[in-house]
Amino acid sequence: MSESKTEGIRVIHLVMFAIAFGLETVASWTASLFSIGIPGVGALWWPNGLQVAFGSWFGMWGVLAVTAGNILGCILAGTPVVFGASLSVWIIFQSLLPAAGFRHFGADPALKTTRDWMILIVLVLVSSAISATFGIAVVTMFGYIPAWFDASWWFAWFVWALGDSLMGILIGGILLRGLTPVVKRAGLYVEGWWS
Amino acid sequence: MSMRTFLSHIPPDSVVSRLASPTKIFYPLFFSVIILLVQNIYVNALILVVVSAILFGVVKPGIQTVKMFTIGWILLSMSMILFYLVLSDIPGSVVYQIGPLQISDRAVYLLTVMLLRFLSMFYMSAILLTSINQGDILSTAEWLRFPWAVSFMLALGFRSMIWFIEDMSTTTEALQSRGMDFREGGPIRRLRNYLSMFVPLISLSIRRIPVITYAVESRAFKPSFARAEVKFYNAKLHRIDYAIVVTCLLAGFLILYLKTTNQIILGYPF
Repeated sequence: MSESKTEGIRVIHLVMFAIAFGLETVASWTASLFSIGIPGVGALWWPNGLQVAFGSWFGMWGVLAVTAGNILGCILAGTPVVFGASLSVWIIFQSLLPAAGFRHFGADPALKTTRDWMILIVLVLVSSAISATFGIAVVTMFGYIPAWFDASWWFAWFVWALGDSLMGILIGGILLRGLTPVVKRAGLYVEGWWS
Repeated sequence: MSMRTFLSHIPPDSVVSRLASPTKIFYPLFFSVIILLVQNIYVNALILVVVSAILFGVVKPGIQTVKMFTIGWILLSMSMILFYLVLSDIPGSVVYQIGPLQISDRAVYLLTVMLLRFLSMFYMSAILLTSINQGDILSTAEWLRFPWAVSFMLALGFRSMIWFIEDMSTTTEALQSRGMDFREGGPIRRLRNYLSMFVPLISLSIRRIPVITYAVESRAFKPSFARAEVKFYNAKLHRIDYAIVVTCLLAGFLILYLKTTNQIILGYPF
C-alpha cells in the first residue's frame, strides 16, 4: 500500500479522491458564503489553496475531486444548481495546471528552491486567469453581467483572478511546503497522472 | 419517522417523502435548466409563482431556509442593479436620468427578467436541498447504475465532510489552548492566525487516508469500476414519480416548441 510507484488503480486512490472531495466541498461551501455578490464568486477564494495542493499531490484524482467538491460546495451554499455547476467546473484549471506544471518542469512540490516557488507562482497566476476568463464568460452568458468586456465584466474578472491567485499562492504554498514530506512518507504522492 | 435532509426535516406523511430519490433530484434540476430558456417578464413571473407554490405548498422548508435563500437573492440583486444600471451602458429609450447616469427601458426590462429568473433558481435550490440528503444522492447513483467505485467514493466523501468539520473545531480549540486568538487583532494578524490552522487541519485529514485504506483493504474490497451487483438502496419509481417526470417533459417540450416557433412569447420584446 505504501509504495506509490505500484501501477494501476488501488483502494488508496479512491480514498484520496473521497477525502479531497469532502474537504473541498466544505471549503467551497464556506467560501461561497462570503461571495462578492455574484453567487459562487468569492473575493478571497481560499479553497484554491487546496486545489493547488491536491492536484500537485494526487494527480488526476485530486484534480477531479476538487472540481466535483467545488461544484457541490457552491450548490450547498445556495448558488442555483445549473448556474453553480456551469460556473464551478472551470475551477478545474486551477488544480490541473499546477499539477501538470510540477510534473512537466520536474519541480519539487515541497518548494525547496526559488525555482520551485517561481513555477508555483506563475502556474497559479496563469491558471487563475484562465479560470476567471471561462467563469466570467459563463456568468455573462447567464446574463448576470449584461455585456462583454465592459466595466462590470472586468471588475468581476479581476476579483476572481486576483483573489484566487493570492489564496492559491499563500495557502497552496504553505500546504505544499509543510505537508509534501508527510504526503510522500505516507505513500500518497501520485507521481504520474493516475498512479 | 421524519427524514433528515440537507436543510430540514421532512415528515413521513409529506408528498416529498413518498417520492423516489431520482425524482427528487430530477425535477428541480430540470426546471433550473428550463428557466434559462425563458426570457419574457410575464412567463418568468408565472414560473416564479409555480416554483413558490411547490416550495411553500408542498416542500414547506423552515423559515430559516427561506430566509437564507431570500437574503442570498437580495445580495445578488444589489450587485445586479449595480452591473445593469450603473456599470453598463445598455441602449434604449431613456426612462430615468440621474446626473450623467442614463437608465434605459431595455436595461430595466432585462434587469427585471434576470431578478425573477434568479429568484426562481434560488427557490429551486431550496426545494432540492430541503428534499434530499446524502442517501438520496447515493441511491440515485445506484439507480443510474454508476460503477461501484464511484458510489464508494461519493459515500466516503460525504462522511469525510463531517470529519473535516469536527477537525476544524478540534484544531481551533487546540490552537486557542496555546494562546492563539482568532477574534482579536487586525485583519493581517487574524489572517495569519487562520493560515497557521491549515497545516495541522489538512494534516489530520491526510493521515486518515492510509488508515481508511487499511480498513477497507482488510475487508477484501477490490476497486472495481464494474456496475454494482449488490444494491443497498431501493430507488423504485411509483405512479407519482412517473406523473412528475411526464409533466416535466411535457412542460419542457412546450417551452422548447414555443421558443423555436414564437420568440415573442418567450424572448425579449426588443
